[in-house]
Amino acid sequence: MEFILGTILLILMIAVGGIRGAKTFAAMYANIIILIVTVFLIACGVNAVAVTIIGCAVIGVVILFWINGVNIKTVTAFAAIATVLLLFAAVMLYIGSSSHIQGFADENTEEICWYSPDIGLDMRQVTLAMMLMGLIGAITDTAIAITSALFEVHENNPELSMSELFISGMNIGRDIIGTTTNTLLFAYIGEFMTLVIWFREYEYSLAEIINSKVFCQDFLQIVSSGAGCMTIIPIAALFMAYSLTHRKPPKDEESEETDDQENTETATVNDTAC
Amino acid sequence: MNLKDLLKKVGRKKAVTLIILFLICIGGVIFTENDYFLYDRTIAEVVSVSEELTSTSPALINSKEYQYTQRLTVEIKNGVHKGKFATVTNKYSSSLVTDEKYSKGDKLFVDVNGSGDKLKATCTGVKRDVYAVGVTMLFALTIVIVGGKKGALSLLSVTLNTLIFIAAIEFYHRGLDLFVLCLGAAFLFTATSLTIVSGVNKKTAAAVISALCGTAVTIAIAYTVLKLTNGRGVRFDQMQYLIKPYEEIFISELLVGGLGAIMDISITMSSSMSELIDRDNSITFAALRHSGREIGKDIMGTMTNVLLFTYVCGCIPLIILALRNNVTLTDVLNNYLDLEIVRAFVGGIGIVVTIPIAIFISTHMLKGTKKVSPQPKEGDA
Repeated sequence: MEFILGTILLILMIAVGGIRGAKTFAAMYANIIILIVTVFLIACGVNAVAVTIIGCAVIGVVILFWINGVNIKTVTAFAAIATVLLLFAAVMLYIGSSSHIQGFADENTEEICWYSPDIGLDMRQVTLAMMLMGLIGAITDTAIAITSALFEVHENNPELSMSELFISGMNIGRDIIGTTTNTLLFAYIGEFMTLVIWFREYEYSLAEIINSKVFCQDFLQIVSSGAGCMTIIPIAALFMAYSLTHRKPPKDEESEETDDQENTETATVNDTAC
Repeated sequence: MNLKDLLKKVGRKKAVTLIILFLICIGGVIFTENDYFLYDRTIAEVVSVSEELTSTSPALINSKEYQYTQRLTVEIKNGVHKGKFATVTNKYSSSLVTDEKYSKGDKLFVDVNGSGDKLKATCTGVKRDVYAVGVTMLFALTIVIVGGKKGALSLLSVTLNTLIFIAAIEFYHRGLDLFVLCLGAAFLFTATSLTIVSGVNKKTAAAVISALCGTAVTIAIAYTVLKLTNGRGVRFDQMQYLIKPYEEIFISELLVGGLGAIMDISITMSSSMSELIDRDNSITFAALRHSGREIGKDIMGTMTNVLLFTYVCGCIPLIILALRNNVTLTDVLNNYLDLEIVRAFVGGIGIVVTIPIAIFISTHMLKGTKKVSPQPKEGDA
């Protein structure tokens, strides 16, 4: 079944998007493979958080550099994504372990009863890996939307200052907030539906739902991804405003490299300011 | 930038609103931290922990599993034993697949047994409400700080959509057909979200109609494939929390799951089309179609990836558990990943199909009366 759906998707993508459509499809497949490799490495016992962060970086490279090419837009977006991902990892490391949402809940007993729970692997790290993976797609989308739009603004009005560019970046960001939250919300509702039906069927009370592990696993993931998507907006706008006003026009390649490094430095300042 | 400049820039009124919001959020978290009186179940806070390693066993794939026993002293926070201390024994193994490791400050639901001074208790669950509320507040804060008025409106839209969803599930529980309910809900979702995002105007109407057409075509494709293949290759019995006919639930999930992305495409298309038409009223249909396709190519890739990651990440823990239990990679992928990939593919089809549909509908609706076009009214669909 998924083969037929995949073929339909490929045909449609080529029909609508031509060569770029085919490339998009290939990138989607590449991402699935990267994801599988990441998960496989975690299962082999390599540190879950480290593998996931590297996996996310590779995914970012595929989505940004391979589909959209290496340029100031994608390099800046990449720096912004890295910053938000690390920030998010730090926050979720705390929330994830103190709220006890690792592993499986009582409701999952039927699914996991075949397996031994003694796997010699810390499930808290696996949970964090899962959350980071869930976030990467959404923040990449937002980051590239902002940096591309700001690039166009700068092309049309090259004399704008850094703070003017930042403000216009925030305005662009505000326009996409509504649609981004909708995309995420409905995707998660689609996944969440069976669980909600389950809660209703077994007459869970609100207090039971809100404290249950199975609800919190999904809920914390959904809401924190939403917060992550919001944080990328000012960071991407700031980074892009900075790199557009601080680049040296003749040597494009090199200036991007240094911009990237400088950006990661300003990132820490920006985070504390936020 | 110092505080005074910042205040001047943000505006006093806005600053006050933000501070009030911030205080509400902090207050909400502090309240849930101490809401013991709301619960009938006994809650206790861990005040001290002593733990010892009881045994070490070889675990799967060259690793070791450590078994610990924890002796917790807990302070009971509500009910008849309020203020007293009790002891709880807890065993966990270091992987924490189904066990919990408690530490000082954790709040637990307990069953108290015994009487007098030496109370004993067994733990029945963790009190997680403060995290649920805390993360919600964090989300509300970031969306309002970043998005201002538009952020607040998005928050409203999220809340309304969640309520519609809960209402739909309630009706389903009362015996209505889930798929029909989801169709109705899809209409409401689209109308409310898009109206909130871009107001009541022709642009929104075009987007709503495109989104609904896009969803209809997508579901038709998904349903046909599902029926033709009899769902072969997909293990529906691996769907979580299985209760009822899963094909129906799955197709309803597909319907709602892709809706957000489809709406995103529709509104992006109709706003850019209306922007182009406003700027140059004599623009030809061919030119509009061309620009629309270019925009479509740009957003198609990132959108499909958003859906892919959102869906696939949920099954990571199960895949890892199975892999560590020496299940082969192909079996694991067939069992657990397929369902999520199907969702992502159907979502992708939705995104791609909606691009030409949205271009067609927006150009014909927004370009006005130049050509005799089949003008759909705002009310139908």
